[in-house]
Amino acid sequence: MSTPTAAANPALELTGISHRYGRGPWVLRNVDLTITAGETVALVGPSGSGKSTLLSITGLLTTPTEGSVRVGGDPVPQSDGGRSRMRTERYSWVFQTVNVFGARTAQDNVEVGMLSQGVSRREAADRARLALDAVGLSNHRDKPVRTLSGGEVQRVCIARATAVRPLVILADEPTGQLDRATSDVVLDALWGARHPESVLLVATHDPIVAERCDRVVRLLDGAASEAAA
Amino acid sequence: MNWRVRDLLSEAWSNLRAAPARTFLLVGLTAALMAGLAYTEAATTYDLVDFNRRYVEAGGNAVVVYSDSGLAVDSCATFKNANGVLASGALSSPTAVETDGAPGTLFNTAAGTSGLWDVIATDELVVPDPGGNGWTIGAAAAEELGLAPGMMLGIEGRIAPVERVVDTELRDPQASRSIMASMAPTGTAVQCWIEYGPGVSTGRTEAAAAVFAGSGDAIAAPLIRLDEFSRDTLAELAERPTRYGWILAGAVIALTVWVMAWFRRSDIGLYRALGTRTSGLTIIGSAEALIPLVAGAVVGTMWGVVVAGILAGESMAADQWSIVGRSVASGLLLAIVAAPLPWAIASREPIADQLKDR
Ligand SMILES: Nc1ncnc2c1ncn2[C@@H]1O[C@H](COP(=O)(O)OP(=O)(O)OP(=O)(O)O)[C@@H](O)[C@H]1O
Ligand SMILES: [Mg+2]
Repeated sequence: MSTPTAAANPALELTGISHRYGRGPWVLRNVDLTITAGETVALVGPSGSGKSTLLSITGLLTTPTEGSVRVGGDPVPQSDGGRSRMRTERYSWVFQTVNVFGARTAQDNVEVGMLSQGVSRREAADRARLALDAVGLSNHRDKPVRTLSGGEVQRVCIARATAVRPLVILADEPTGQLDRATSDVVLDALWGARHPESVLLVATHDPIVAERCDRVVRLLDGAASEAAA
Repeated sequence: MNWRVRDLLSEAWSNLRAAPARTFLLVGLTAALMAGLAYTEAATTYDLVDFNRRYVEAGGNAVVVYSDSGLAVDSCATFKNANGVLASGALSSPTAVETDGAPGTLFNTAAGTSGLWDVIATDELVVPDPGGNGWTIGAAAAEELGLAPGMMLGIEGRIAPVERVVDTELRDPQASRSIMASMAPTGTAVQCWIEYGPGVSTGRTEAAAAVFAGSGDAIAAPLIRLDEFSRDTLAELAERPTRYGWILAGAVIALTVWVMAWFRRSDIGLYRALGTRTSGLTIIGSAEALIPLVAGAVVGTMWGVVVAGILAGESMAADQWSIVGRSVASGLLLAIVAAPLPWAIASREPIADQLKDR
């Protein structure tokens, strides 16, 4: 279950993670996962196997029933404030259903991610421009996001997630609602805009996404196993 | 590191600008409710102010002291210096005379000290300061005799100009058919008229009676009978049905803001997912409410006040402004304080659930 990737400085260390919702069945059983900086990891498995749950635990949105998470070598703080600070400073998300401020411009949406981390407005504006360039949306910068296509909006989300240069990018089915051609554009954007030191952990059904990743972790009946990439 | 406050405020401003329909709906609703509140408060107080003015004009603040045996005129004239007294003047007993120009028709003549006209007449005096030796003529007498200020009038050989024509119909109908001369503040008279200021409400007649306690038969009485004007305007103001209107207006506005926030749960969830804490959310929620609510309240107040003013045919008095202003400000404050509640308690719900509502 534990992976052979032994690195001096693991960016993410999940140890003995087990989880159940309330008194429901165990969704995850004793999962170990270690990921080093810069690695891209696909999380695959049948529907209901716990991919989203594991992402949510990794991203500190859900506290596991058992087990521990270390991020950048640090244990997760006990306090809500500390957890929320760590979540903000070290993670960003790309969701399956696009999560954007639809009435605001693409530029605004990307800036908000940085402003909420205390980046100055000028710097946020500059970095947002670069991030939108990197995902090929230079021409859509000042359009309200609700006027963009699904693939374009997902690229805005990618620009937002990468512009903050997080330690870990978590993506849950980033191409789940896109056709093949659009998926390729979005994945190119994600791989291209990602800071080389950022970990990318993607939950996906899409074999093409898994192919792009350095490693593939398969979830089945609550247990994780490494598959050859 | 987290949001800078300045950026939170401009974030709120951007959200308001990005959703103009929602913003204007909130401004419009606030304006309409505040207009209703301002209008009802203004209309109610116009009624009270109007009643008060008619009451005062009719003599609600006036006291008359009567004595058949005679009152000291100088006591009456100096009453004006007493606390809370606006004007006072003495009136001699009337006698019936004929004018030189219209023999056969009898009119009353009497004499009054300066200050008397300020109490018994309800119109502006033609000559502000009496005391000349001309006549002061009641309106009814002036009409009957065809007299106007400046014309000459002779009575029993004394010829003098008409100094002024006064309207005494409301306060002293008898004087309306009188031809009155000025009297020096000496000797005695049979009536002393006293006009109190609006603030003095108790002990007026007692104070007036006390001054003339020397003349045994002096009787002090309010000019108008209280049962003619039985409204207690201060009590009515305190009991007005609209006095809780601000709570209603504030609550409806706050509820609307809450409903709007409910429809934006996914926005709130996204802010949270991007690392915005409760304090930051509360600031965004407050600022997003503050701007349209204040704008709506200002517009609505003006609107309500202008409509009430047009219907009343006059502009509002300072007292009315303060009543309307206090009601609107209270309702606005209630709404502004309550508005960010959904943002402030958003962290009780899992972020994932809020994001799902997209
Ligand atoms: N909030 C929740 N409360 C209770 N049960 C939940 C909750 N979220 C997920 N589950 C259950 O946990 C199990 C794993 O769900 P999860 O969403 O992690 O699966 P998944 O691998 O992401 O599936 P999919 O591929 O369909 O997205 C499922 O049986 C699901 O019903
Ligand atoms: Mg899932």
